[in-house]
Amino acid sequence: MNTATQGIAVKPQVPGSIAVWVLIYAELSEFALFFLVYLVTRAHNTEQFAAGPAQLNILAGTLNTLVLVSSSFCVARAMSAIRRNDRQRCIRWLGMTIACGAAYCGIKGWEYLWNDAQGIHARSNLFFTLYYYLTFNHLLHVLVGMVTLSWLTLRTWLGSYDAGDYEGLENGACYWHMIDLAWIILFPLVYVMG
Amino acid sequence: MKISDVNSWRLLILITLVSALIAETGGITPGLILLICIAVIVKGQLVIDVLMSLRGRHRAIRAPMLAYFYVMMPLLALGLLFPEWLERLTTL
Repeated sequence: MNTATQGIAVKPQVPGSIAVWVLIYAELSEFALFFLVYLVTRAHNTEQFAAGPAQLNILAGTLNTLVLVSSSFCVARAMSAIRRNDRQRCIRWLGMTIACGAAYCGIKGWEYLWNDAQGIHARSNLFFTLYYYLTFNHLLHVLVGMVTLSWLTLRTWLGSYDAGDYEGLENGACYWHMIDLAWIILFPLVYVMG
Repeated sequence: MKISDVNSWRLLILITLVSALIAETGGITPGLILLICIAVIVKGQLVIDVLMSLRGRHRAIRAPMLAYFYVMMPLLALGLLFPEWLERLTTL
């Protein structure tokens, strides 16, 4: 009898596979480069960047942060459930994670429409160019994460993962946490500190 | 200190709301910039250690993840606090 049928969780040496960690470090490096570009551009255009954050929709940025940190909590709960071999609960938590991702996309769409109504566009000034570049890039990562998690939810439902084998699921969870980590820096940098 | 995932989530929500409150009130001072950078490091560490379950395990994975926040945030704080110095440094 293997550990999965006994319902005993087996802790791997590394959460997920090495490949996903290479991807995560590459993605975080990409965001780090964007943050440094933001900082240098800000240093050369202090007036535009000082006035920029006050024109943004802080409520939308805050709601997006709340939704993303909640989604990280949901995906962590999904991992706990699969380690206990509780597939139904794992699927439920994954569904909530995807719902949080969809809420993030909805809020971001509303924020862009709100910006448009205020006359804010990507070419308004350098602050808004970088704001759109950073946030839209992050939005694309959220969409990729949602597609990945949807696929993993389907595979969990089909019985591909259990307490003895959940590396694929853990890869997706780690990637989702990375998306949250990037936003944790992006939100205060662009919306709060400017 | 061991913290549960629920308490970690509550703390993340609380820090986010405080950051939003600061953003709404406007008037960012150097002290507030430092405070926000520390808050971001705390948030990053909560996600990495508690939600990703990397605390006390997987040192080779955890250390670079934490370093991302412990290196990036002081760099951002320096750039935000001393833009003239950064401008001089990056002018060709």
